[in-house]
Amino acid sequence: MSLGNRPPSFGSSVSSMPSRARELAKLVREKEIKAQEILEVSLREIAARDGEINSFNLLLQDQAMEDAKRVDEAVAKGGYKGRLAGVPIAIKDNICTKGILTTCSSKILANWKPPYDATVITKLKEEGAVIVGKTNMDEFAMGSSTETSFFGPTKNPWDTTRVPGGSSGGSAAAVAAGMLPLALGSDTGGSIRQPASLCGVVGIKPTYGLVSRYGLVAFASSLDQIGPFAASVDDAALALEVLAFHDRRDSTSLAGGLYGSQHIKKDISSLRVGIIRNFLPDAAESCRRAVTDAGQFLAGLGAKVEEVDIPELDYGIAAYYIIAPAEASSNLARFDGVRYGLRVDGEDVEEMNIRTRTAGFGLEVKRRIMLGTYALSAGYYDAYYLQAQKVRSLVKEAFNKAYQNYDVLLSPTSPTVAFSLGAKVADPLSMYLSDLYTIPTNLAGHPAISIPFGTGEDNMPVGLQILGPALSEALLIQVAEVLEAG
Amino acid sequence: MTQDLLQTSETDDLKGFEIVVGLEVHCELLTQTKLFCGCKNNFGDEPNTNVCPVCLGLPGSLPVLNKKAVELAMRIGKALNCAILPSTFHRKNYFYPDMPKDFQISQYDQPINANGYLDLPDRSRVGVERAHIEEDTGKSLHIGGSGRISEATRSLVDYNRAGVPLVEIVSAPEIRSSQQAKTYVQELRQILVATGASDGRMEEGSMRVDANVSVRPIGSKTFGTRCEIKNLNSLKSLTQAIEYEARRQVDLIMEGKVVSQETRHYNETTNSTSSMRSKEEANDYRYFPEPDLVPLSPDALWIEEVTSDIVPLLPATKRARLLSLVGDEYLSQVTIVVEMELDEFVSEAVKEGADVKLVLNRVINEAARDPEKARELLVRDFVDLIMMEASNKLSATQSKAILQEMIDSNESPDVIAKRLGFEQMSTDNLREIVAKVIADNQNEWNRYLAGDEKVIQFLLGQIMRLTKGRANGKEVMGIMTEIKKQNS
Amino acid sequence: MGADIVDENLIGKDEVLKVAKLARLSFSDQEAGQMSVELSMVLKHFETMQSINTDALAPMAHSMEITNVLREDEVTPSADREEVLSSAPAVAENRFLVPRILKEEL
Repeated sequence: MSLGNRPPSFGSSVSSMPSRARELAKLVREKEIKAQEILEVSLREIAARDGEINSFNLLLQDQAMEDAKRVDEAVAKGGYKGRLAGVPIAIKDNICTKGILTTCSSKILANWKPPYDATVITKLKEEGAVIVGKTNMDEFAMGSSTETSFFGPTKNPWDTTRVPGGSSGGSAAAVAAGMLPLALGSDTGGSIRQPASLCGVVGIKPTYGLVSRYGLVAFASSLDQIGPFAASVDDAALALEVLAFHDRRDSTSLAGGLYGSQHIKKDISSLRVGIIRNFLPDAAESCRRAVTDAGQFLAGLGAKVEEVDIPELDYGIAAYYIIAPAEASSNLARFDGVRYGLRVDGEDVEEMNIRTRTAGFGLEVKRRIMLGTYALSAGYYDAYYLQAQKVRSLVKEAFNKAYQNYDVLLSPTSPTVAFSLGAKVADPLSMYLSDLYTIPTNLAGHPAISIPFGTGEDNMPVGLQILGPALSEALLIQVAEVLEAG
Repeated sequence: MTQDLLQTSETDDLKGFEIVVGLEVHCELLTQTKLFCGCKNNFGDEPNTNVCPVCLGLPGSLPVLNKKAVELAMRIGKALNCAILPSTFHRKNYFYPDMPKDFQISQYDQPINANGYLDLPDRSRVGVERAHIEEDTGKSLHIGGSGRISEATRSLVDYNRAGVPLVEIVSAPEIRSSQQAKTYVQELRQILVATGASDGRMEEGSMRVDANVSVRPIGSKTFGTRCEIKNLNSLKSLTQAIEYEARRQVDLIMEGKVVSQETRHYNETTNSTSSMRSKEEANDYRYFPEPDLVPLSPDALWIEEVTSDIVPLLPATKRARLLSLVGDEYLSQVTIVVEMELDEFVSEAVKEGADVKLVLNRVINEAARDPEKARELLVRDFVDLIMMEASNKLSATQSKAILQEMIDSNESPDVIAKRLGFEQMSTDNLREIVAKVIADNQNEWNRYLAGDEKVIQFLLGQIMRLTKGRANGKEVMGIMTEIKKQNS
Repeated sequence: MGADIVDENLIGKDEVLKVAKLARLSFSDQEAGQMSVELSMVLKHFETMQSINTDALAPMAHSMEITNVLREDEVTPSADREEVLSSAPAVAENRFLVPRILKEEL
């Protein structure tokens, strides 16, 4: 293979099995291929590789088969319109699936089956997607390497001694390893984009509010978004189209019809691109080079490309590590052993709560709960939480100012390529700093896409991040496709 | 002005201190569904049958605000003369098993209603600091021991009530007596019912009152340490608890001790309050803005639509209206009549010419038994009855008896009078009986002739006995006076 | 980014234990000490923000400017009680069973 350790793409072991979701769905609708056939390929790949990679917390073989059969039956009846007909998809294990384990890779929810489906799940099923399983993640989405999972880490398919990134490591790895063409993850500070970058796949974090959060187990409510992983920009775009709609069960859901092709540039030569200069010095050489190479490529097509300093973004990480843990400390309070999940008994309720939570949560989760509780507590609220929310405004304003002069911004997705398992576990702060470039987007509520762009140190994939203002997904996708083709 | 309201019995005990009371009233709103989800808002259903992922706080669930709850909150705000403001929701974080999320969604520094007041019938005014929206908690049953939480071995939790919409109304600490506190609650209850926001049933828990009580030397401008008193299930508990607590605090201070700021539980049986918290740490609620809800920003049009019909419905308006009809001297009667929601009834009766004083008396005394049924009386029938009494065709005793029956059976007074045998006694008949009583009681009659007014009661009593209560007191007096004149 | 040695922990061990109580977590003495070091490191990093003049800034609680999201007061089906209670660690009389509650919170 020309690109070192690159894993095989989906369906490559079967001739005439397309690897792209859009094509697969089209062929299923046209009755050229059966959903069950596609699923079999997927399950074979999973069986062959997941023992080593550990993408999945739960595999839904029989159920998936039944779902695939149902799609085939519906297609046979005629007129079937599902945009994801027969496409196998993996779901991050913090998205509720009715009657199916949803553990958030935590001991405290290891036995929990929600009595309801997340809105995105209902939609995927309506469109004919076949849910193959629930993927591994950092516990409660807190982490950047999938190493805090109660079920053990997921490995990077390019080099199984390295991390896949996090917190949506399982979903990124499943797509990267060619087990299926699509997967869902969630992104609070980079948890889709960073693993996408480390695993050499495409990941999109949508504008805050574009995709419903109903059924996503909350980490930091004002930052969380669900988004897709795919092996191509077009597939990720297809998944996003399906998932972007107004949901009245989510009060923060944006009105429908806002995401569309109205932002697309007619001509790349009219594009104005800003390279975030202050994000370059701390990045590894290959990650820096990806950005400058991309800039040069776009300039070659006539785009106006410049470096721009947005120093306010450097404060993003500090603000994030106050806001996110604060919200998380409140969101995770409900895990008290009373209504569901783990219970460790005690003489009284308070003791039961303490024993349950102490036994049920991992160390990183406890750290963040402690940090968040502290930041909100009496006497510290103004200095920490309130100040962080003000800095958040600063970051958003800085972005808005930049977008007056640029249509899109470019940066590395991650400061490094995938690091070794265990390398950062002992140093929480260094782990937090891997989200340097992705966090500001979440703070502002803006969208961003990470696409694979070359390989770097040790032949590991490098990710390029394309950022845009709120609701500019169509433009980001257009630019990403241009770069992908080049 | 408020000093005049202090009952001397209260101040006598308080040795130069005055009571300072602020009331927090939680009122359950009369909506079909809960505050953040479509589960039924219904009291008394089978446990855990009105629950869903949202009100159970299941992982991944999200709240969506009930429009009707907001509108009822605005109506309460308008009725309490508050400013209706743009507002936000906050999370109040603490662990308790009847709280599904272990935080409560409430309002903190930006409540929907603020800076209002309540004018009481006696013209005193109590400030209302805020009236905000929040969700209710589930309910626990304590098993083991006598059912009180301190003796329980375990608890059972029902989440039917979790998520029910509440408005919390917080008064300024401007109440100065237990009686004023009672009046405040009575007035507030009427307002809540009149605006359609609540059914105001204190004993059922749809209206819950907590009292913040402190004392200070009369004339002092600073506040003493206050204690929050809970478990006030009736107006009687409210007044007694306030009086007990005030005395307790005064006693402590007089002994040179310090009043600790704490929450106390009122015990009806022992008529005393006891400390609830085992340690004296206040809860750190770590309020922060609720990220899953967006701010509320009601525009003037919406507020107008929702609140424009309120003023005529309010008890103060109804009192004013009735007073202008019957006269200001009837304030205390009118207050009671409005509270019983019989003001329209009274108004119509008076307009048809019935005697004001009689109407008020009969309504307050007899109709009070069952105001709901009394409201269904035909005004015409009631007016007929009053006129029969006013013209001495019926005695007071008879009139009251007929009215009781009218309320129960809705028959007309004529029919009932006949059935009870209250036929009109002819004047001749009456004269005969009066003559007989005079004849049989010569000593007493002579004393009356000599100027002894008190002996009249005895003579009247005798006449009533013989007429089996059918005599009209006024008519009898008239006859006796006549005979007295004839004799002099 | 190595672990800087923090001379004076921003959040000391006693504070850690107090916060732990609020969060219903328990730590051994050693764990609390470790937590104190790690949290202090993160908070120290946050200190870089204290120098920013934020007087002119409003705190940003939401990233979009939506207001007044409401729903009609209409009943929708509730959950199946069996299903809900089946996830519960302990149930009695169709209610969630918990050990005794020491502190009354009304």
